[in-house]
Parts: sequence; structure tokens; C-alpha cells
Amino acid sequence: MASNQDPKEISKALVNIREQEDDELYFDPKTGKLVARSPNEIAPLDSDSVPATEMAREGFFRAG
Amino acid sequence: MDLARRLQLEDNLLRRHFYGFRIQDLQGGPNLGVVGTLTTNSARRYSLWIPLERFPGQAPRMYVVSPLLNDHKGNPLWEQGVRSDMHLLSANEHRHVQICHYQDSHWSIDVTLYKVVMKGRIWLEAYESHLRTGNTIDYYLGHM
Repeated sequence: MASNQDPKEISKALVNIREQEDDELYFDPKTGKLVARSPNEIAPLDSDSVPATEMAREGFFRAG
Repeated sequence: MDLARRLQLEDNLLRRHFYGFRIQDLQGGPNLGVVGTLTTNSARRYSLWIPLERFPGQAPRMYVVSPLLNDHKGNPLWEQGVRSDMHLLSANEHRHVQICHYQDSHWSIDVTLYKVVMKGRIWLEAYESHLRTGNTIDYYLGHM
């Protein structure tokens, strides 16, 4: 089962998402962890995981 | 949908997806808001407070109430005021940093608190990346 939860892998995925690459981000409610998936990932994801890619991709408010 | 019904639905959604999260004072009280603790992938815990006095008409504020946050150099983030490169608005009087999540122009009454908390979760992961590397948070999370 795909479960790339290493914080450094999450960091890389966030950067890739910001740069409009095809990485995906999921949230696992059972563990509270974020899960990164690269475009070539073929292993199945935990069925309870919920997608979080779009929330990362849409960005955050630029304050100031 | 009236506000009470909306808040009940929001509470149900939060409880289903974020363990320990709830809307306090749901039945009435002076401190209506979301409370809960998130655990990052490195197992650090952060408590959030999202007051709901202006929800859903406006984007609610979101504060990290515990622990008090420093930047990667150990300087308190609450002293640094508004920082667009860290996606932070002004901290409150209790030194709780405020995450800027949705811009008003991107907010609608349909946005759920689930999405707000999820943004907080993502921000915290980016914050820890900042602590490890010194890169500002907007290196990891783009701007709207």
C-alpha cells in the first residue's frame, strides 16, 4: 500500500504541486498524516484517505 | 439552511475527518469556534482555534494556539506580524499566530470548515519544512 509519509517527501510533493506538477496529496483521517503520491505511483491508497491536492494547489492568501 | 443546522453539519464533518476536532459552544455560548489538535507527519502536535463569529459570511480566522511558534532561527513568529512569505496574518494578543488561508475574494459561504482545517494541516507540514530548511512557507505553498 502506498504510504509515502516521510516529511521530506511531503515537502517535495508540496513544491511539485505548487509548480503545477502532477504529484498528489492525500490525508489519512485514521493516522492524521499527509500522504504524497508521485505521478508514477501505482500502489493502492488507503481507502479512507481523502484528497488534499486541490487545497494545496489553490494556494493560500497572500497577506500584506 | 439556518446557521444552527449548518454548524451541526460542519461539526459532524469535522469529527469524521479530524480526530478530536469539534465545534465548541454549538448550543450557545460566548466562545463559538472550532477546537482541535493536529499531529504532523513528524508526530508534533499543534492546537488550533477557529472562532466562528463571522462564519460562513466571511473566512474565519485560524490561530495556532499551542505551541507558540518560532521561525527556523528561533525567533517568535508572533512578533513578526503580517508575513506574506509565511502565509501569516497578525497574531492575536495571546501570541497565537494566525494562518492566512482563504482570501476574501476566494471565500464563499459554501466553503466548509473541513477545508479550512485541512489548509491548516497542510500549512503545519509546510511550517515544519521551513524549520528544517529555512525556506519560507511560500516556497512550499503558493499564493492565491
